[in-house]
Amino acid sequence: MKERTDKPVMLITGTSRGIGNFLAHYYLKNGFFVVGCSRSTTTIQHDNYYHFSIDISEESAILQVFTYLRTVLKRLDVLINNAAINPAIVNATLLPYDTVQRTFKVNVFGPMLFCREGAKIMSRDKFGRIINLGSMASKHEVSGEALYTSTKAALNSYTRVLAKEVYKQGITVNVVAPSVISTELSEKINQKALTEVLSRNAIQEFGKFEDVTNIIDLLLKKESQSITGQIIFLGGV
Amino acid sequence: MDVLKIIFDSIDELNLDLEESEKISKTEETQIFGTGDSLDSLQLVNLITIIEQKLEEEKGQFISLADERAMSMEQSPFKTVGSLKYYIETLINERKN
Repeated sequence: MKERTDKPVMLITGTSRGIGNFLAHYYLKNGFFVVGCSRSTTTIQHDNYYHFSIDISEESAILQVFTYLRTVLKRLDVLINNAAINPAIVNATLLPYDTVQRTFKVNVFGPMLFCREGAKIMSRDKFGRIINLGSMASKHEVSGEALYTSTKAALNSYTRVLAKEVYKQGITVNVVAPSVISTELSEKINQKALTEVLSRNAIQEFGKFEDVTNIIDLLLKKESQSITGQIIFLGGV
Repeated sequence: MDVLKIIFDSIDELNLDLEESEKISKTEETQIFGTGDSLDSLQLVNLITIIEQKLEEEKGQFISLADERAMSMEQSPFKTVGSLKYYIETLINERKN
């Protein structure tokens, strides 16, 4: 039977673009074996990268990823739930139910399943780091963003409870909520509204990808065992 | 597939991590969860994780024990080794059909 990999293994959802893509490249450079997923195929070509083209709103698709982790790599050190959608910036009274369901599946239920299965693998090694990507939307509660905001708020609460449940297994769980970073997701948002929201922050400029890796690097350290159940906002929110 | 053997092997593995006073015995009557002399929730999660992994190795297919019925049954399938065995066999048979 194949030996487990000696490299730390990081699972990142949503690696085809934006923050997830940046994180995958960054942690490949930093010695991780990265398992990524997205609905599309990947452009990341690296010996230490493995990609799943899946829809994370499907439980069976998510379970395939964990079969690979358990049977091939035999470990999971870090899980980053990054994938999210923001399909409708619209008054809450006009939100179609299908859109509500689909958004909750991708932004909340998918991450819950990744956490459920991820924590089980991590608990075998009595070590793990789970980072859920949040949003300043859950703090600012902007009109027109009811759906996306409520998914991120749900993920915040889920994170805080999960942190209590898995702490004794050596696993920490936190939310990192970046300020606005220029990605395809943020470009879809009304730029005037975005500027208005940013004006509420201590830092009114767009954030950088490096802001995200900076805080994640801190959370990954073994010495950061006491940082758990936190919602860490970046950009002076 | 001998489900009872998988559960017993998993108990052996779990017991390696438990204090002498916490170790559980390998009988169908052994209380796993929900009564005085049983596992705490953390230990239960560890046991379930080990069983799921062993089932996957044996069957080549992942079977999640976090099934809807496990949450809603008045008689939890995690109560004793015997009830867990019956529950797992039911899940396996459903996969076959």
